[in-house]
Amino acid sequence: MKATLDGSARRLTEDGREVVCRALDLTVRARTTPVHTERGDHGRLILTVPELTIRRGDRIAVTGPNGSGKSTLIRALLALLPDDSSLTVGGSVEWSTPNLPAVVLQDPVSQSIMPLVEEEIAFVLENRCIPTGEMDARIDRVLAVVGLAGFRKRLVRTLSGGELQRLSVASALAAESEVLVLDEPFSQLDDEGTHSLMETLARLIRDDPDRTLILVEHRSGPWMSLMTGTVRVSPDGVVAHPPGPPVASFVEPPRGSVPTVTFPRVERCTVTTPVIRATHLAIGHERGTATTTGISLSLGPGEFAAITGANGSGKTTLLTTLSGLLPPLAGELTVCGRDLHRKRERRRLHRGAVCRLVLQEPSTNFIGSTLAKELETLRCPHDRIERVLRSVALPDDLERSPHTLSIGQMRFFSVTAAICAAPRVLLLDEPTAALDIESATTVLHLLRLVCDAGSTVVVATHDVRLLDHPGLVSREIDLGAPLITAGRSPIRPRHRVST
Amino acid sequence: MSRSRGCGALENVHPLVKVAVIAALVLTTALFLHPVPSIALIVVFAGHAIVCWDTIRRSLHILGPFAFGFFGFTVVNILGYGGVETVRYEVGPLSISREALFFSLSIFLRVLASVCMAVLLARTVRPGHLTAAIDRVRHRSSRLALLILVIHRLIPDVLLNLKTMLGVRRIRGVRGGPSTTARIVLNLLAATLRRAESLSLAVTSRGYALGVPRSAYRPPVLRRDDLLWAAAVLVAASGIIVGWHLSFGLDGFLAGTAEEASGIGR
Amino acid sequence: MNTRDTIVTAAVAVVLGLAQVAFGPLYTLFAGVLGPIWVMLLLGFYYLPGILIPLIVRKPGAAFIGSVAAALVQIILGSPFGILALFAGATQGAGAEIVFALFRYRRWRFPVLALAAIGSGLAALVYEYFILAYGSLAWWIPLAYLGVRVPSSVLLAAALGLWLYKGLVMSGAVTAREGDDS
Repeated sequence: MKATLDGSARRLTEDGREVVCRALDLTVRARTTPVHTERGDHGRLILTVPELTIRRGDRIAVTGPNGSGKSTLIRALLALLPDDSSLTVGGSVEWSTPNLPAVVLQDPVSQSIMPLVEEEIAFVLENRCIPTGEMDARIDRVLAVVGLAGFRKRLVRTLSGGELQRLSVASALAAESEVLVLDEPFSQLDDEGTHSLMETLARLIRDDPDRTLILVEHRSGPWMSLMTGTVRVSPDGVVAHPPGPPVASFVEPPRGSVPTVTFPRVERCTVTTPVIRATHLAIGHERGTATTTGISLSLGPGEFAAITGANGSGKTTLLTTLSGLLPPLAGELTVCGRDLHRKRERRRLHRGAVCRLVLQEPSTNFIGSTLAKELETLRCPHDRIERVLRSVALPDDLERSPHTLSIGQMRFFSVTAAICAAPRVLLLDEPTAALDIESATTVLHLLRLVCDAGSTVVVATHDVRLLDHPGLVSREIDLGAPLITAGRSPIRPRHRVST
Repeated sequence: MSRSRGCGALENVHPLVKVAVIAALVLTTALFLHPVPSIALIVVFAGHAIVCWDTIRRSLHILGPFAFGFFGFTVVNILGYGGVETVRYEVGPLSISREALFFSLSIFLRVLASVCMAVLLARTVRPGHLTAAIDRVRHRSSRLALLILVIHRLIPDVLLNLKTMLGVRRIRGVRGGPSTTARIVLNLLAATLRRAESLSLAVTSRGYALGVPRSAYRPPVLRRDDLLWAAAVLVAASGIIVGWHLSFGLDGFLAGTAEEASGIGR
Repeated sequence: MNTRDTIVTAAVAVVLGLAQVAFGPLYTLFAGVLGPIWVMLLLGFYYLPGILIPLIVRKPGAAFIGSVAAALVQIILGSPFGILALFAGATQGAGAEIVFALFRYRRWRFPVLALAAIGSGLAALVYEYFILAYGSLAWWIPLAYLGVRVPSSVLLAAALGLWLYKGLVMSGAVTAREGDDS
C-alpha cells in the first residue's frame, strides 16, 4: 500500500471544505516473524480504520490508552512505515497536500540534528532551497512565533524539554507544510514546558485558523479546548471517529478494581538511624561544581518524599546521588547506615541491591534481553508483577523483549517492576509521566502499598495526580528554580503517613 | 570556552582546504618509507598544538595506548626485517641492524604522524562547517555529509546512554562479565536504532532527501587566509624535508652505514 | 540506500565505533602480552561493522559505507591509528562489499558472512602491506598475519555479527527477513 501524495489540482472536496486526507479500510498487521511463530500469530491485526477523513482546518485529537497503536496510526497515515518494518499496511490513504506533514515527536531530544538552534532551523530552509539571503529573516520570524526569539546562538543540547519541543514546532513551521502532526508532545514535559507549548499552539491557531492539526495524546489537559474533533483508538486497535471536540471523559474510565498485591514486610536496615539522612548536602556532576546545595532531609521506613522543582533544578541529580551512583560533593549523606562519601560504602550499597532507581529515559533502564531476565536482575518475583500487568491489559508474556513495548508501556513496566521488587529504598524519576490514567492510578496504588510495607520512597515529580493523591506523600522537598547554587530546600511536611 | 585567537583563526580555515592539505601530507608519508616526512608532519602538528594548546591537549591521551601497543609491532619489524643488512648492533643476545632500526622507526613515525593529524582534524574542524562544504561541492545533499552530521549528533547521547546502563547494572548488584556486557551492547544498539528511527522521521518530514539540491545557510567561502595557511604548512613541511636532505643527505643515514660497512672512510 | 538507511548505518556505526575504541586498549594490552602475531586473533573485531551493518540494512554499499562510518567514529573519539583508520575502514569495507556483491546481495547466511569477513581481512592485509611495509619483512610474517586473521574474522566478525543481529531481531529492533538463518 502506498499513500498517494498529490499536490496537483485533483483535490477532493466535500461539504464545501477541502479534504486534506482520506483513509479507507486502513489495516495494520504485524507480520509473522520468527519470534512470534510459536504463538501462531499470522498477520495479527493491530489497527483497523474503516474510514477517516480530515478536512482543512480540522484539529483532531487522537486518543487512546498506552500501547493501543496511536503512534502506529500516525505512521501508517503518513506512510512512514518503512518497507522492511514488521508491520504491513493494507487499504488506502490519500493526501492532497504537496508536502509531507511535519511531525513533532514525543521525545524532545531525538528530533534535532544540528548543534545550534539557528542551524537547526536553517537545515529545514536548506532542504527547501530557500536562498541564503532570505534565511535570517525567516529564522527570526519562526523563532518569534514559538517564543524562542533570543535563542539563535544557543546550543540545542542546553535547551529544556519544553524549549526543544517548541524548536521542533519551529522547524515544522519553517517547513511550511500544511498539516502539523504532534505525537504525544506533552508527555515528557513539566508544567512549564507544557504551558509554553500550549501557548505556542494557541498562538499558531489564532494566527492561522485554517491550519490543520493532528495531536496524539492520552491524557486530558488544557490543550483539549483547541481541538475540533476526536479519533479514539481502542485497546484492540479499532479506530472510531466520535463526533465533536474531545472532552475529559473521552479517556477510558479506569476499570473498577486495582490489583491487590501483597508486599512482604520490608526489613529495616538499621533500627535506630533513619533510612536516608542528608545534612547540608551538595550535589552535582563534577567535583567542585555543585548544582544544588543545602539539602537536608531525614526519612525513615515507610515515608514518601516528593522532590519538586523546575527542570534543571537538580531533581534527577539528587536521585542519582541518593542511589550512590554519583558521589555527594559536600555535606553528610547516609543511606541505610552507609556513608556515601566513601566509594567502598557506595559499592557495598550496590552489592546489597538495596535501592532501585528508575530514570526517565525508558530504554536505558533495561539491561536484560527479555522482560523475565529484567525481573531477575531487579529481584522482583514474577507472580507479583503478572497480576499488575494483566490489570492494565499489558500482555503478560514475559519472554518478549522490552523494546517491543511502546514508550508508555516501557515506563510502566520499569516503574512497577521496581516497586514490586519491594526494595528498602525506591528512587523514581517522574514515574507517572507518559502514563495514561489507568496505568498512573495503578502505580499510585502500588506506591501506597509498598510504602505501607516499609519501603522508603523518594520520587521526583511535577505530576499533580501524585502530589495530591490522598495519604501518599509525607514530605515535599522543593528544589526551587534551576541551577541556583545557593539553593534552599525547605522541608514542608505535608502530612505524616501512619506507620 | 576561552580560546586563543590563533585557534579561532585555525577553526575558520575552510574545512576542505584543511582536509586536502592534511591528506596530501599524510600521503607523502605513505609513499616514502623514510622517517623525515613523518617528522615534518609531527613538527607541523606540534606547531599547531602550541597555538591551540587548550583544545588539542585534551586529545593527547590517545598517544599513550598508541605508544604502548605499537611497541610490539616495532619489535617484530626490527627482528623480522628481511632486507639487506649491513651494520649491526649487539643488544644483549640480539643483533639488530641499522637498516632494521631505520625501517621500524619509519613505520612508527608514520603511524604517529597519522594519529597527530587525526587529532588536529578532529579538534579544529566543526562538523556543520565541513558538511556544508561537502554539500556545496556538488550543490546537493550528500551521503557523507549526512553520515557526519548524524555521527556527530549521536556520539554524546550514546555515551550517556552507556554510562546510565552501566550505572543501572551496578545498582542492581549485577556483576559485570562478558554476557552482561554483550547484553548491554545489544540494548544500546536497540535503543540507538530507535533513536535513528525518530531522527529519520523528523528529518524526512522536514523535507530532507539524499541527492537533492539544497541551498546553504553559511556557505563556506575560500579566502585568502585559507590559502595562506595551506601555503605556510606546505612550505614548513617541505622546508624540513629539504633541510634534512641538505644536512644529512636524504639517505645519509643509510649511506653512512654502507660506506662504513665497505670500510671506506668519509 | 536511502536517507533512513544512511541514518541507521550512522547510528550503528556510532555504537560499534565506540566499542572499537574501547576495545583498543585491550588489544594493545594483548599485543604486549601475546606478541603482534597472536594478538591478531582479536583483529576480527574490527571487521564487525562491515558485517553487522549490511545484515541490518541489506542494501548495496552498506558494508563499505558502514565500515567507513565506524572509522570516522574512531577518528572522532581518538583511535590510536588516526587517519590510517579511515583507510583501514575503507579497504575492509570494500573487501566485505565485494563478497556481498558476488552473491548479488541476496545471500545472508553464515557462510557468506564468513567469506565476507575473510574478504575484509584480505583487503586489510593488502592495505597494510603498503602502509606498514610488509614487503620489507621476512616472507613468513605477512603470511602469519593472514593465517591468524582468518579464524579471527570468522569468529569475531561473522559469528559475533550474526549473534548480535539475531539478538536485535528478538528484541524487535530489527525485522527478520526471509533467507535468514532460523
